[in-house]
Amino acid sequence: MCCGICVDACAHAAQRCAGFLLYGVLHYLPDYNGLCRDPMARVVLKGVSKVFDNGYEAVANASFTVEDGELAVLVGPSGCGKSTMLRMLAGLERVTAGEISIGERLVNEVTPKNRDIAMVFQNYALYPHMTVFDNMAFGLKLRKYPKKEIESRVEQAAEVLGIKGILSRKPKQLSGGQQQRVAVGRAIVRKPQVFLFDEPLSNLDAKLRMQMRTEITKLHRRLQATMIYVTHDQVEAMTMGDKIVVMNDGQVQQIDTPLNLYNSPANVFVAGFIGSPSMNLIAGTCSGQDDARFESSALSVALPRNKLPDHAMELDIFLGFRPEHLYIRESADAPPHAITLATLKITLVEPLGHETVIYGNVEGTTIIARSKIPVPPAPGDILHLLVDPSRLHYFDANSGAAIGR
Amino acid sequence: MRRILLWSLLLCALLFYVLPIYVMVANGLKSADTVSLSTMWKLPVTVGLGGFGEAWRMLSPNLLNSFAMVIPAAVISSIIGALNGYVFSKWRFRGSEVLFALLLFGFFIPYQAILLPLVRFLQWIGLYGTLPGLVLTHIVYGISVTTLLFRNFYVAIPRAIVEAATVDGAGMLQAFWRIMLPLSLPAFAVTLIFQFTNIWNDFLFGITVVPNPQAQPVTIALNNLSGSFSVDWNVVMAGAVLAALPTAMVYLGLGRLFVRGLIAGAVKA
Amino acid sequence: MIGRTLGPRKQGLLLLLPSLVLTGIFVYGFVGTSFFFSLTNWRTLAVDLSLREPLWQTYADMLRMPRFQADLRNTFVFTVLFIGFSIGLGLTLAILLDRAIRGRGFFRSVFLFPYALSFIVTGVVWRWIFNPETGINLFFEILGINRVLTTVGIGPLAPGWTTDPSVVLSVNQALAAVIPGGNTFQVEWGVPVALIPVAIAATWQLSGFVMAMYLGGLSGIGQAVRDAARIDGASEFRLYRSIIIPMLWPITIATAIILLHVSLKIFDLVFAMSGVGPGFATDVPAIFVFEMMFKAARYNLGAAASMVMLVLSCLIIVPYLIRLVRKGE
Repeated sequence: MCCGICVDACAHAAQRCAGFLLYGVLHYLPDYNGLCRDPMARVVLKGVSKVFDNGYEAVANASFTVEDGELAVLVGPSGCGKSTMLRMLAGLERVTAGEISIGERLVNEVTPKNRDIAMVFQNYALYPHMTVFDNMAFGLKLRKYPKKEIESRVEQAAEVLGIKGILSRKPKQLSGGQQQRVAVGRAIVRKPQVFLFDEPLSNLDAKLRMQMRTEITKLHRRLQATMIYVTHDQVEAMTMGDKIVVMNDGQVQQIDTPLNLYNSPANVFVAGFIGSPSMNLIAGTCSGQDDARFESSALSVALPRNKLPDHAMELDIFLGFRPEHLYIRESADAPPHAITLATLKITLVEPLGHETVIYGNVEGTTIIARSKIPVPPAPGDILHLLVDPSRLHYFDANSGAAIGR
Repeated sequence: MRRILLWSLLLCALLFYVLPIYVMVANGLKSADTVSLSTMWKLPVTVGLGGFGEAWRMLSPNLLNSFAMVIPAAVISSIIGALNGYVFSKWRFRGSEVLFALLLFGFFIPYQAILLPLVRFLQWIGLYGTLPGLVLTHIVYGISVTTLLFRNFYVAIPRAIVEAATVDGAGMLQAFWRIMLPLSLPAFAVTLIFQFTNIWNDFLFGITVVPNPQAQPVTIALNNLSGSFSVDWNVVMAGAVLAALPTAMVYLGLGRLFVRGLIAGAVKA
Repeated sequence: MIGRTLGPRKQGLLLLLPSLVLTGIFVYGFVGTSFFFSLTNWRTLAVDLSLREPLWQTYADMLRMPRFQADLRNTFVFTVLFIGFSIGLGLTLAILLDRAIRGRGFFRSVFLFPYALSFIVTGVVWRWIFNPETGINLFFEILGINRVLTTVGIGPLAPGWTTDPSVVLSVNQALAAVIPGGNTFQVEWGVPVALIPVAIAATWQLSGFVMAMYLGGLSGIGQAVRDAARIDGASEFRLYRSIIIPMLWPITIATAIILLHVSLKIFDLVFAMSGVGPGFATDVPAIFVFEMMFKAARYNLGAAASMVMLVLSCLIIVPYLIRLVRKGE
């Protein structure tokens, strides 16, 4: 009983210290560079597919490149094939077709052990019967490193991660955040060419997740290592990735920087997936000669002709606009060139303090808006919405692809 | 290379497990004049059911005794176990864990330590040497393990279900009868199989509580058959098959439940 | 008005009452009675419940009996052999089947099959397999081993198996050197050769159970840990040696306790397979108790031996039950 309390208290203290230590250590620890590695590690996928024995195609013809030292995030809803992709990179799944190379070496037939990669798993996958030290040292021991070298590497990693005080504990005695750090430590002691992260934060609570997110980003900046990070959380993807690979249904949807994904989504899926709340997407058609109009069952919007791509005319399209690019006519924050979008009846209001999320209804179509209006409106109120026309997106309703950009 | 090693090891193991079964069946099917010590491993030249017929003639009364013993004993001990398991899992009170442990103790003791008083007691109440006496014995010493199995099963059912029934106005017994019992069918299947196998395969109680050969269960009769010099060897082997058949059928037919009971009774025990 | 009803505790107790009463009588009452019998002068058919003078004389007599000493030795040796064989074989089989291969379910069913049989059936069959006149020994002829050995001049192999009275690896001299008075043992402390076939038969029956336990444990080890080890660079062999087998340790302990419990009580198998054996080479306490109580009518002696069995069993059960109570509260 007494023991339990002590362990708990220690765990808490260690956790609080860890955050503090990390910030300090990352910036000032001089021999930190001992954990960096030398060789270049560019990861290239060419036409990679995976078809399972039961005929299910998890990944179809995926190609992308992760440059040396880059942090690439694979993001998509569950079942989109991102984890399978990572497991193929790790060598845990065989590639059905295509080529994977790591650091200019074709690794299709190379075993996980010889790929010079390390992986951090979703459930940490720590060895429950080994101490934290042994967990981190296992991979080095198998590679027959001298004892001294192993000790110094583990110590160093533990210092970086703020887990020096728990090296002799077993995983069961650690908090979720500490287990997470050990899992990361197990990867960094190996100094691999490439780090693979498989949804490593999904088992942590919201606060800790945010903290670990920044820690991993900092770790990446310091180690200058190539990292590939899988997540289903678009916020994680946007905040961490140098480059983001959006996947859905086994297909790569778009490969781009976070800002480009946000500003110019390549298709309806990416448009809806990135951003929260999601982009409003309204089905309709564009028509007209000098002054174009967008017409749908609910909306009729006069569009400035020069903002509209030519080939969007006379097509079935989706008109897209993000909630944060809508303005309430009565409030003063709208840009001068904003145009009238719709008049809607408010159905639900979510005041968040710094802003308000408003759900409204026009002729059965729901529109979501975000506003910084100081006094939020009430459900039932009528609202006139403006939109910034340069922030409008157009998608071909048949193919889903973006038009114009 | 690896495959070859794996498969040769598995086939060796298969041989070890199958050989005794082969000896039993193959020699049971031989006729009295062709069965001999020097041809033990050979397949029967002519398949005859003579051995089985003879074994059946000698063992059928005892097989019936076994059934008459095992069915009521397994059913009654399971029902009592269900009730106990219910109380121990869903109506815990101060000291109930201690009572449970005291009850469970009965499953683990070597029964030699109660044999003599048991026999005296059964003589005293007039059930010594009878099947009902044997059934009573198996029920009493089965309670602890059936309670364990049911308790482990019920622990996995959320307590909120019973609480909801209580809020709806059901009493302790009503909640058991209306809510828990309908959920317990898998547990009953597992427990009945477990008890059926255990009780059918019992030897110690059979030989000590029932000295009269006519009333003995089949395990004791088989042992007598095997020890007797006047019985042909093929008959003994056929008898072994007959005595093994009921539990073997249960195993082959309901293997999944059998394994579940095994693990439930063992891992948590 | 609220009617007077029993509280849940009383209701619960009421439901448990029949079982508690029966257990009170049939377990605790009878164990107490047996213990009492072991202290009395009751050693003939005529009941004599007067206490013995001195009180523990029956136990003292028993411990001096060569037969009982042999029984204790046999229990120890049998336990070691049986648990060693069963865990070794069961773990091996579980590891072999811990992969996607054709016929996995078939192998599992066959290996576990003997567990469904009675020890008597097992004993009856294995008794013939280890009969010196037939069974295994025929293979030495069939495979031509004996012909080869005879030409070499060693002579045919014909082990006596359960009829072999010899005791190998005797440690009596070592005991005499270490323990003062260690040379007063009336039996040879070592491995009775005749016990080995019995342990093999018991292994045949229970190793499938051990395999099932391990397979259950293996299915609880996530794929992620295996993947992590492979990425760390562990070979298949290393994965099992350094990760999986250590992770199965709790299963090993649980299984060993269950097997220990079986081996301390073993009765039917020995009874059907070899009986007391030559020079009590395969005699066990359970048979000793049975014969004293139901054949020799030496009731106090049988009761005393059963108390020794009980104490041995309690050494394993009681810690387990105490842990159970602690965990529950």
